[in-house]
Amino acid sequence: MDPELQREIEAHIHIETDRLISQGMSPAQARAAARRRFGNPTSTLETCYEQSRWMPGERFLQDLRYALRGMRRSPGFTTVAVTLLALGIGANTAIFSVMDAVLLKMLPIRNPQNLFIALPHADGRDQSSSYPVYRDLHDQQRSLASLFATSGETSVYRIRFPGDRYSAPAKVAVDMVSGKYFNVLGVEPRLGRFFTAEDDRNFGGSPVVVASHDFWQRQLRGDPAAVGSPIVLNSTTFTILGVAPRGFFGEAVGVGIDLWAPLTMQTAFAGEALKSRDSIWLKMFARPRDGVPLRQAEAELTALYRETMKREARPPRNMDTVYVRLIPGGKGWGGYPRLLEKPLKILMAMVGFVLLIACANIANLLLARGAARRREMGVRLALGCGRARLVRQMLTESLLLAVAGAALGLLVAQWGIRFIQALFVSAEEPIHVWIDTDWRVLAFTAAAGLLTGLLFGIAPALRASATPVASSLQAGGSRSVTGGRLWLSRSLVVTQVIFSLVVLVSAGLLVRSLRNLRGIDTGFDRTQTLVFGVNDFFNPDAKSLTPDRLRTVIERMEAVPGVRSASLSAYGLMAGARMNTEISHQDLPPGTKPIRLRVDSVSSGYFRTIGARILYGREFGVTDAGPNARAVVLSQSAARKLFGDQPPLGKLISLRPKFDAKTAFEVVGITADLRHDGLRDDSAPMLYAPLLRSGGNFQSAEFRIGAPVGTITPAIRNLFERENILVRDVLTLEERADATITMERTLASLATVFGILALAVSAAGLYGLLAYSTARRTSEIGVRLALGARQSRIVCQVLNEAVRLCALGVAVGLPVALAAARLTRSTLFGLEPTDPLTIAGTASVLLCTALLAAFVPAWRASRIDPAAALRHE
Amino acid sequence: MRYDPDRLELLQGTLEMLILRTLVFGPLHGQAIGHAIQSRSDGEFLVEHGSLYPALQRLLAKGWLEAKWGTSDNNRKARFYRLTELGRKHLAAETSKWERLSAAIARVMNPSHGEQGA
Repeated sequence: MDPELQREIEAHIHIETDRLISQGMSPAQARAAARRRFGNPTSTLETCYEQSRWMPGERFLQDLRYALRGMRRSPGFTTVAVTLLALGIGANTAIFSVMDAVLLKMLPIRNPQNLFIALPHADGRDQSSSYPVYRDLHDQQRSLASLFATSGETSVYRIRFPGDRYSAPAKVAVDMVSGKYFNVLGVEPRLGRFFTAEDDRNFGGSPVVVASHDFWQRQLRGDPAAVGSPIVLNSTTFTILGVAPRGFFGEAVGVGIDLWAPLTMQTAFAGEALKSRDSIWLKMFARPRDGVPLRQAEAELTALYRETMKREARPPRNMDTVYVRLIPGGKGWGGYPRLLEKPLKILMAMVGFVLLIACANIANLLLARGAARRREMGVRLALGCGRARLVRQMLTESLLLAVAGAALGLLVAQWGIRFIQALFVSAEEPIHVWIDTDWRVLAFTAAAGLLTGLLFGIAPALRASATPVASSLQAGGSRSVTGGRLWLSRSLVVTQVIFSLVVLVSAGLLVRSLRNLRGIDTGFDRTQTLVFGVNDFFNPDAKSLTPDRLRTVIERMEAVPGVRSASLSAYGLMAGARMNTEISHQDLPPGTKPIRLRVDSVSSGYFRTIGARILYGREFGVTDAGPNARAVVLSQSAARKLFGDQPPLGKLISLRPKFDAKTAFEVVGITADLRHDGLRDDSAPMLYAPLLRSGGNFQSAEFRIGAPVGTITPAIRNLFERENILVRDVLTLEERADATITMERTLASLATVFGILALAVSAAGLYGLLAYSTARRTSEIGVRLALGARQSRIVCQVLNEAVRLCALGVAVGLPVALAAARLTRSTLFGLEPTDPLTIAGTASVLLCTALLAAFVPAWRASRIDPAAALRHE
Repeated sequence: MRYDPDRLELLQGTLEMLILRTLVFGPLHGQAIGHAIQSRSDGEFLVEHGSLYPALQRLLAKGWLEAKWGTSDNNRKARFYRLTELGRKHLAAETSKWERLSAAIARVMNPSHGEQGA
């Protein structure tokens, strides 16, 4: 308690006692009377103490109580505001959660800040490593605490559980890793155990795998007894050694690894690569040794790398540009973060604008509500409530709305995340991201809620507190506001139009870009061609695939009812794999460098089957088979690249660096350029060799079909099963093409959702403003109608206001929208961010929406009954 | 402890205004302020003197008053309160507001002015 106050109170009672004595009371009476008049000193002390200590908190609680009461009293307003906020904040939280998972979050490993990628650089680009190179670095380095390697995702299509204990999936993603992979990452097994250093020494002798938690749940039914049970991958029987913890997907973000296997088991998954310096397939990770600077470790690795690279068949030309860098690896390593960064930033910006639109909208609702509450404010001010207190009270109400919106937003976000995750996983090339609501997401949502609460609350709060006391208390005061006070509401509507324009222009650009991509001429017919992805690189039957065998297979393929023609190819279209070869031709002066060209081997009828045009000459026929077949087909751009303007037909080409006329091939046909890798990729110059020359592995079977896909597919599957040909996937070329633009499709569909959201919210905002302003002008309109104004004129006037506001928003918003659209430039295809058609289209959509939103208030205004309106006054 | 916020605010606002008004003619100590309010209102406000002190503290906190220890007429140590420049301004504003309010209330309460609303 405050001793000064205590002394003061004592003095007060003494003085009062003195006064009463001087009026003639006895000292005892006077003391008692003085005490009585003072009241309870302890209670005074307590009150003073409480108010000095608890006043802010107490007031806050009181504000909160008022706010809750206010919300209960206007459920309509509260519902609309909270719904808008939940949508806005939810969309932001959802996109941020994905961004967090893909770009921000560290891997779920021990000490992720201390994990580095050891990235070799040679011949002007970053390199993966061969196993011998990795072993050299691993065995000789001294400056790192540990160095390990991984292969990244390898797909396996031949999976079997002996005794059919579990159902086998069509495909598993395997990551081959060093024995100490899990140890160094610091991941603890959920079940069983992980690999050991021993597994690094047993070449081909450690048939063990670790299952991901997801795989264990999905395929092994979460069965603890699965640990120790066998699984056959390709033709090797592995034992399941353990299960990784939940949420651990390996070192690459976006790639869903099902199984980990030791590097030393590589031959079980593909041709022998452990001894070869030509197989470049490993990524390296490092943990630095305590006290050794990164620079020093990099210097040592660089020296070792240069040394081992000298032993390559073709060593790098300039050793000065060969080095190893250690770059932070705690966020993992994979293509997806790079692929998704731009789209996520675009979406983040869009949802940000959507939230701003929602804010402006709610601010307007609050203003309208504030006008309705003028009398309440006036009374409170008159009764001695401070204006600052009133502002705080109003802000508390806004923040309460924001908190409710943010809480609901978290729920909306969960739904949104599931939606995005479904988009990711349903893609032909699924993206696996572990999205969860971590502290960063919660902090983001809280900050978004707080900021929006302040943003939409501040103007209405200031306005309410500026209520003039006297006029607000006068009879009819709530109607005496003049039109001049609507400027704030109007500018908030214009703001909504501006931000809508920004969102809609970007969405429009992305949608039109997607249309451009889809409409592109790929050079082949995408709708009538069905493609079976067959076999894989590790095909045990590859040697038995002789030209005769292939010819028989093709004949049987063509005999399937509904198939018009069929073909086989080594790589095929949009399969993600490719081969480049160095070639030479007759016109190349001796001693010049050979030309690198992409090569595919295709059977007769290939171009007819995929619907590609032959521009000159012919395509492969049944005679282009056997060891004497000497025909090749070039794409148009390859012909130009090799022979310039000379007629290419009949020219001779060697499929090796040195030209040799005796073994050379003759150009028999020229095809149109094809987009082999997807819709975005430019057509590469291409050389086609006859597959039926020497036979061999093929990974694609094409069918030109004349019947629905669903009726043909089972027959072809049966055929391939009989022929012992593995089927990996079945897709039309259209579906394969779509798979190459998954990112663009996802981006465009989410952008469309946000665009529609922005449009709907601002239309509602405009509608609200017009409804409010015409309602307040009821008497004015009534007078005008009574004086003979035509209804159409009233309608025009309201529509005119809508168009003016919208046009102003578009005019102001255009530069903003153009600046924001620049963000999309790198993802756009076939149009510029300044595309006039998109901008004009967006502006007209906005204007039409404005007219639509204005129509109801306009119509209602024109139907005002003059007599009733005047009586109202 | 439950209190009715509306009534307390009325008391707070009004009491503060009355204290400020009492101090216009010069510094006074707590007892003198209480006595002055009571005698000038012809005893209409029976203010417990103890309730003055929380109000005085609030006024100090807002910077409308200053306080200094001094000696009273009958030689007792007492704490004297003085109106600051800020307090004087606030009082002026409050006074005009009060006049408008009481006039408005009078109009509303006077039945000859008709009912509220249209």
